[in-house]
Amino acid sequence: MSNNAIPRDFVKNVLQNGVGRYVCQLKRITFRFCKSHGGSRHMRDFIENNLLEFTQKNPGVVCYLQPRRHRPPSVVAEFLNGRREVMLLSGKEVPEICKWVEHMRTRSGVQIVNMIQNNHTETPSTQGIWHPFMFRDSEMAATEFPSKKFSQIQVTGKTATDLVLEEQLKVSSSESSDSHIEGK
Amino acid sequence: MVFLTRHLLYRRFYQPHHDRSWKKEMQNRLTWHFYGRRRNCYALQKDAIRRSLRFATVVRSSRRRHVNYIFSDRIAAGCAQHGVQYSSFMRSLYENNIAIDKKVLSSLAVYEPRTFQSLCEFVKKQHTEKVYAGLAASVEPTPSGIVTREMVDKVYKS
Amino acid sequence: MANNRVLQWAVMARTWWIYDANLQCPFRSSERIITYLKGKHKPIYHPFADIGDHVVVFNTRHVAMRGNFWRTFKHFNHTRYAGGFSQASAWRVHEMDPTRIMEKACYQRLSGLPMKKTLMARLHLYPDEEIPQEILENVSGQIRQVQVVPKKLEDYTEEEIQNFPRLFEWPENYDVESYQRENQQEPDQHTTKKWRLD
Repeated sequence: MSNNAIPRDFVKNVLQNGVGRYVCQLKRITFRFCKSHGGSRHMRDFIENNLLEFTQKNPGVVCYLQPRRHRPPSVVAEFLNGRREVMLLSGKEVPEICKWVEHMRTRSGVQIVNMIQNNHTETPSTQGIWHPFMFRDSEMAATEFPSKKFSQIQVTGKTATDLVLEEQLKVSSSESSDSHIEGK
Repeated sequence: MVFLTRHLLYRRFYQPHHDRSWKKEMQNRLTWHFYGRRRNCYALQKDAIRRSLRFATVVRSSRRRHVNYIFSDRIAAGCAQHGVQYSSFMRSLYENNIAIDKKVLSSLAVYEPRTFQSLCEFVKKQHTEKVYAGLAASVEPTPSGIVTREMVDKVYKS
Repeated sequence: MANNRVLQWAVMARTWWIYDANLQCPFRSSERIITYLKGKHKPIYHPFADIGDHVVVFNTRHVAMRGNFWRTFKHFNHTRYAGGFSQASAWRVHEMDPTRIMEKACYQRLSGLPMKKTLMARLHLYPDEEIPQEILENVSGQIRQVQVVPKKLEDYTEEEIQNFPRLFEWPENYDVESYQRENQQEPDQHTTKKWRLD
């Protein structure tokens, strides 16, 4: 249907992250806010009270503060795979901003899209994908076509003609053996 | 959303029917694959979308059936190259409690062909064993609660 | 995985098959042939995917029809003008074009498919045993026939016919030698007048 217009993809992840050690995929985070307007009030509170704790806990993430005059507050997250995500946070209160920042920190950076299937693999086959010559009779490679052997239909059982001829053979052989006994 | 000029930006919000621009965008998303002016013109899009959504409702139930047919065709093709019939293949798997559904069987036939081959060999062996035992017809399962004429005959004879 | 692109080259390979139509029913043969044309013999089959194979059919002049079908089976045509309908019996069509019976049988069985013209282009028909070398060298497999090729009465020697066990006696008034005479001419009821041989 028209769902084709919405981006869809197979499930993806940053493979082997966390097997040896975990690498935070968030590279850089920018807090954009206005110094004067009321829309950025909670963002300013967040910066005042919670940001320092966040930076101390996550030394691997670069934090920027970007004051912009008369613009709504937002968060820009940049990930190790090169993707950049913007989230508008106007009117969001401090606990909610904390949640979204935590969300950005724990994400893999892969785009969130509609999933085609729940399971997917890049290497679907261990035995080799089927191809037309896989189960073909290898004798066909050496024969010259058209050949009568591969053309004839394979039948089991006997036709009526075969049965009649067999009966004739039986009768004739028994007659000959009878005559042999009489001759003795 | 990119607005090339300021006029285009303000047109969205300062129009007598400013909601229509969002509706227009939604319609464009649904008609991107249509042919001709039904793809671009708002007035022509409306009817085409109603029609296509109606089809989508109808197809929703029959799509599963068609996908199932394709699975059956693929399994049949996989069986044929080993000399096994589709119906006897599926019945033999059912009788021996090999609970693999059609979707997985068809993908086995393509991606793990040796596994599928061994399934076919299993089915063939089952069949020959039955034939040697003289049970080709009688081993077939009878649904419970059904009395066939053969059963009645057996009782009368005994 | 960069290798995946290469792996499918063998999967999608378009192979060529050959079929001997000598003394075969054209209708049952065509059913077997179109499974190969459509690619239904492959486990990767999908009705909209273009994965069918080529089929070379030879000896189409020697196809065999059941019963009275050479006389009664008809091919129809309409030119879409008023009075443009015409029909011809199978033997008359076969006389005009010895590959036509087989071609039409396959084409009719492909009806309803959007790909049928493409699939028919992959069907190569030859009336006799001569097949061009450039076609024959592509062939990598043979399709089995649908019925046993019978031994004709002409192929038996006179001695074999005499020695064949007699199961019953013919009645005295039975016309025993009828098979040795030529067929009597009878008017072709199933062909439009302009195609008739009168």
